[in-house]
Amino acid sequence: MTVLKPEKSLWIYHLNTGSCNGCDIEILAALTPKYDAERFGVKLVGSPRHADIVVATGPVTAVAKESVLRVLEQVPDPKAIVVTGVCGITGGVFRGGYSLAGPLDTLVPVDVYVLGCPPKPEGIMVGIIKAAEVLELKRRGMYTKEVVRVSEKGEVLDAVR
Amino acid sequence: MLFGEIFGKLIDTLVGGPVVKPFPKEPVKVPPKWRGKPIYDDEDCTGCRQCERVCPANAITIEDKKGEFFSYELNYGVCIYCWYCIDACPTKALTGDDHSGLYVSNDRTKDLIKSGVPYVECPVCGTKVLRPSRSIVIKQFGKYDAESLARASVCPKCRREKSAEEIDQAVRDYLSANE
Repeated sequence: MTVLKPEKSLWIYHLNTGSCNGCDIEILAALTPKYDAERFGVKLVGSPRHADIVVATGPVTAVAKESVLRVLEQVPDPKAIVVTGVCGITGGVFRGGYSLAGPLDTLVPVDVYVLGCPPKPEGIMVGIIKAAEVLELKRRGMYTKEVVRVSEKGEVLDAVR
Repeated sequence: MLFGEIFGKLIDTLVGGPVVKPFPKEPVKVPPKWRGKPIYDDEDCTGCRQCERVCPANAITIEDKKGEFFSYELNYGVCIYCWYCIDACPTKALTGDDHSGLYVSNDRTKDLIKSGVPYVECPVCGTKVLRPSRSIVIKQFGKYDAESLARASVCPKCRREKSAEEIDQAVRDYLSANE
């Protein structure tokens, strides 16, 4: 695994957009001494203004949509967004529900997806390391990957950046 | 007793080393009976649609264009890895990944299997039937080749109406015509 080494420690902000708490527990487990993501300099911060990487869980509910967008605006650029769990990717088992405002990547560009229901803590760690690479590329202005916005049915709507 | 437990843990830590999993250096060890991605094999599929029926997350989308193609799509962005589909599959066309747990991607439109079963011609009358499953052909004939596949894909109507000799002759003609 070739890892582009980030210059600074990664401060992550944990954003719950209406999750069932399964993925949140796994993120917590990834930071505990058994898996210890803090070895890579990862630190959980309490304010989005301090964060480099946003780790989001859950399908975005209609009630949470405004707050989620406001929180994501507060994160300073360059930022990387990691979506954890299948709910955040497509809606998962809640897909098509009346109270959803769509998965997160229909609202903002998402860089890394971690699959699983819930994913393993190691998977979340790999996602954070991948996001660190994305962040480092963004800092150097070398990030060329097109982030696609996807409809509810999985069709590509348009490409950003 | 409590003191003994604490002392035992202390000795474990001193002798056994750190509890941190050395994850990026060593690959992930998943527990026994771990459920990972379901993997679809179109050669074994009979098109019974049991997996679509039992899937609690509706991750499996099947579109059966009669006479043309039986298209099968399994979306890992929706799948919750419950393995109900694997339990329901009668021919083991769906098998599970039981040794890996790390699924990270950059593009969710690619996290899916797009596959399907083609329709083949009945060698006797020429009507289109779904290609027979490999495991059923092997169960019936003991091997999986062109001849056994042709014999297995005789349509139900011909089996009911034609005699064994007629079917045998038709399959032989069909095979020699295709060679």
